Amino acid sequence: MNEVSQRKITIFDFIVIGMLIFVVLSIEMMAKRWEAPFVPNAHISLNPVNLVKYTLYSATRGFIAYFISLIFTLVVGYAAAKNRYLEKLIVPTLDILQSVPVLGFLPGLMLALISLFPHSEIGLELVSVIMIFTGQVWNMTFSFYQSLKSVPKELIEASRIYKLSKWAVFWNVEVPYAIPGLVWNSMMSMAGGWFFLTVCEAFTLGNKSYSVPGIGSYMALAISKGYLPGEILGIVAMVLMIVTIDIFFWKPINVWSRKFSEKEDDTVKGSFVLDILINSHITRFFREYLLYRLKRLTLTRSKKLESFQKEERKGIKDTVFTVFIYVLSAIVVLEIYTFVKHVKMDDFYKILLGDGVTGLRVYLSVVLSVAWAVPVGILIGRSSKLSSKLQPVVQVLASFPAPLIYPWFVMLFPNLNYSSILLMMLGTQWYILFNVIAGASTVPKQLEEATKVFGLKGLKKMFTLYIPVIFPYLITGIITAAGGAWNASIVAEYMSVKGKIIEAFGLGAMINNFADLGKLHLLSVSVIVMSLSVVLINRLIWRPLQRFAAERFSLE
Amino acid sequence: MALIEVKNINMVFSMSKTEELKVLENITLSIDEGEIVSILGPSGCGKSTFLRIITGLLRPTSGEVYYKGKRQLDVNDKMAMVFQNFALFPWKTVWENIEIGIKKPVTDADGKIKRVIDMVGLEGFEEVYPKNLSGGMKQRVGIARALVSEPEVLCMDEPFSALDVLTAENLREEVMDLWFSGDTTLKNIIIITHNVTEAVYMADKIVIMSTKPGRIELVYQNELPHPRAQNSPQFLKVVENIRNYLTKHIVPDEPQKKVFKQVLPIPPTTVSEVIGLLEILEDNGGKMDMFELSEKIHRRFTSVMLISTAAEFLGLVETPLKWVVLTKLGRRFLDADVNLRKEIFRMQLLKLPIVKELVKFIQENDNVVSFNEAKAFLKGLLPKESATTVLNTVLNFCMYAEILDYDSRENEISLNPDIEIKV
Repeated sequence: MNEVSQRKITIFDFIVIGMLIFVVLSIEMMAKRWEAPFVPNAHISLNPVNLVKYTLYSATRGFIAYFISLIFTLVVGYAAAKNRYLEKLIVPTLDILQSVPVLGFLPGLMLALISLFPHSEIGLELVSVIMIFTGQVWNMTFSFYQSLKSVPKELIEASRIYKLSKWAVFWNVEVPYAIPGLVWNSMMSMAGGWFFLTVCEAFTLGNKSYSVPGIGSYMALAISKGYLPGEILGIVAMVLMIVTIDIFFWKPINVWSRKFSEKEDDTVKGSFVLDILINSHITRFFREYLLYRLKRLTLTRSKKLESFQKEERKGIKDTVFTVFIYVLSAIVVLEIYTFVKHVKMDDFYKILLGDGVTGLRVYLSVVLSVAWAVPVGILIGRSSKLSSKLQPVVQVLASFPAPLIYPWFVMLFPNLNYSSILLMMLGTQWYILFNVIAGASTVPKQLEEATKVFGLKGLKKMFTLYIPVIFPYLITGIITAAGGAWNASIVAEYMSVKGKIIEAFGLGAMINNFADLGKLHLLSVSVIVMSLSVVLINRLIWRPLQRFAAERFSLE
Repeated sequence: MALIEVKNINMVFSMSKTEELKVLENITLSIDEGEIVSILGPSGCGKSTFLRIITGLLRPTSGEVYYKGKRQLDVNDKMAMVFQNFALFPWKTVWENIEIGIKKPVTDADGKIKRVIDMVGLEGFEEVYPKNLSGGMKQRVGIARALVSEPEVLCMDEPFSALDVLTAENLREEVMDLWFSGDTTLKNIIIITHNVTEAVYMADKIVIMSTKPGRIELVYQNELPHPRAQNSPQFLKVVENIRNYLTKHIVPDEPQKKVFKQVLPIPPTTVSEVIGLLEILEDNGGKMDMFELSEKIHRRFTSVMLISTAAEFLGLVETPLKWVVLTKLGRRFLDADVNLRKEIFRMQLLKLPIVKELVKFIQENDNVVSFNEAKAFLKGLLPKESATTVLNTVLNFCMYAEILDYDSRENEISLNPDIEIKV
């Protein structure tokens, strides 16, 4: 433990004070924006000076969205893990929501929030924040739910013996147990959130365009005006923001979260920000006084006789619940049907065709990603030095929003019908790379030695050793990547450059068009078709393959 | 009046919709104040379940537990528990882990924690996380956490079995010192163990349980005066008596004839374990005491029993009381080359009704059945056993003996076509 000298104010304190002021200012700035009168289309100045302000806006939105995701995760994940009825309802619902593209949430959000706050910017801001939220939240909730389901039995027994209340078990046992997984997924989620930033900050609905000031909307404007310096500066600002957040937020949290895992882990290096936080008087004050108070609040004991867990009476209750679920599903299906029944068959076929084309692109992009990420990932994963160095770089690359490079991209590959495949890859190849790296780092040393002894080399070694070992990881990566690619189709198949709309034939472009034109029926049908494609392909192909891989190629 | 009264406890777990597992049957026991009680039994006899019922962590399917004459319906406030795998919170320091044990807000919580830290010898480790502690130190934290809750009954679930022998010896000693020091609030210790010496060393009352389903076979009052010297003749005598009792009553001493008449599962072991046992026997003059053997190979005596019983099924050893003796066939087996060994195994296995039945079943199904079909068939023969375990064991033996083939890709079991098998 670092001892803090008692009196002397150090440089650390100044840094911490600086950070605090910065945070307060950002919040204040955001609050002012929220109170401002409603302007559907924010006036965005392309002057680079303003970009500083816009970056702060975007970052604050990202964090607010993350904060909401965190609360959603704790509440919904807990409910799903603790109540078996809610579990049956929540888990499939999350699975479907996970596959709904960002734009699918837009019309509902707009209607609800703009009518709720018709006179101030808060409605529009909330739409933007919640759209970012929908890009972040689902995998966090799944991770938390799975952690809760796997808390070791003995820890639960120990907390029952010593009469911890449910509240105390939550904060002292369940949340800490879930933290390592939650931190990892949070980092992925933030990256996912940034990826759709341009869509979340500037969108068109029913021929009206809306925007809130931020890097995303700045870039959208710069691109559509063809203002080159703005485009470059926007990318720089984005990269700076992602790197800064990584250094000042994720890195310290990652190092700190090590204490929650049962194993010693040397792969995560120290964080100088965490050192500053540890060494400052101010944070020390918070640690010692606030945490002391918090401990009394969280470490409560159950007072009432928490009599035996009630016998799980199966039978009547279950039947009632099953009936309820069927009725609910029937109502949902009926509602959807009455909403979309006016859709013409022609349009429906077009949507299906678009779905097929987009699906083809999605899987082509997956194949291309696999083709390069597998060998590279194996190379990185085998060397722990290399992987600890490259991991953060890859992280930044993964959160980089593809739309920022559209203008150049279109110059190089003007036919979006094919080039959108590459754009999809921009967002999704990283998931495959991440997973392959993780898999390759588990290759047992002895097996590697064995292949050496028996003189296996090159491709033969690849197929006897590496591919089988990484296979389960690869499948997981493909599921995430394909899901991401479907969603990315809405930014990859449709873009507006220098006032021109460039699009490919596909469901992603259609969704954009339907939203722009305000054809809500067609939009819903498209979104439903896309979600169903994702869920069905996962259920029918990938999940079984994942189970098979886990059985056949697991190292245990 | 007895402090703890357990009346007619039955415990049934439902494994799936159709399968139920009876873990405890008709357990009745009374524990007086001031006793150390040890519950001794083979693995799988439900002793841990029994302890969890006593503490109120589990509710029995039927039967009651009384504490000081009062029916217990909840986790008992006066009991604390020490776990086999410590059950420490990895994200809490030693101090914070012990703090969990303070159940009610008290004025001098810090003083109390300090005192127990002193008692168990954890000074200087207050701010350390459990992952940086050795097993022995971890269990000290577990004990400190239990003591700080000021329990009347300390329940210990195999507290020393995850530790190495020396550390276990040392901690056992210290627990006894604490017990006699009078510094604690303890009125009873209930300790689960599979180690006879440990039970005799610590306990005033030794409860011997048998398995499938778990029942109490004997309650033995251990009158040896404390402190007990583990090498005194009196001590050794008690240990000897209990071991004899265990081998007589707990080890299924199936006579050879019964083995060949009744469908019995092969005990869950492997071919290599059985051959290993034979080799060790040969190295030690062909005859060994089961407990001596268990110490020699660092395995629980129950697992030694299982291996010996499996070898006995095959006619390779005999097990009079606690002895394991190599038979003539066993010696011939050891002298044989691989092919002859397999032949001996095949000959012996085909005498066992369970193998005969299974082979017949496979023959009736064109010499190939799926794993699940075989499992269902065995379930029909032996409804009380876990079919997966039974089948895996039979498969292991029959594959070695080249009676059956197993294709793990197709999950199919077939008769070996190269060898003629007549049943």
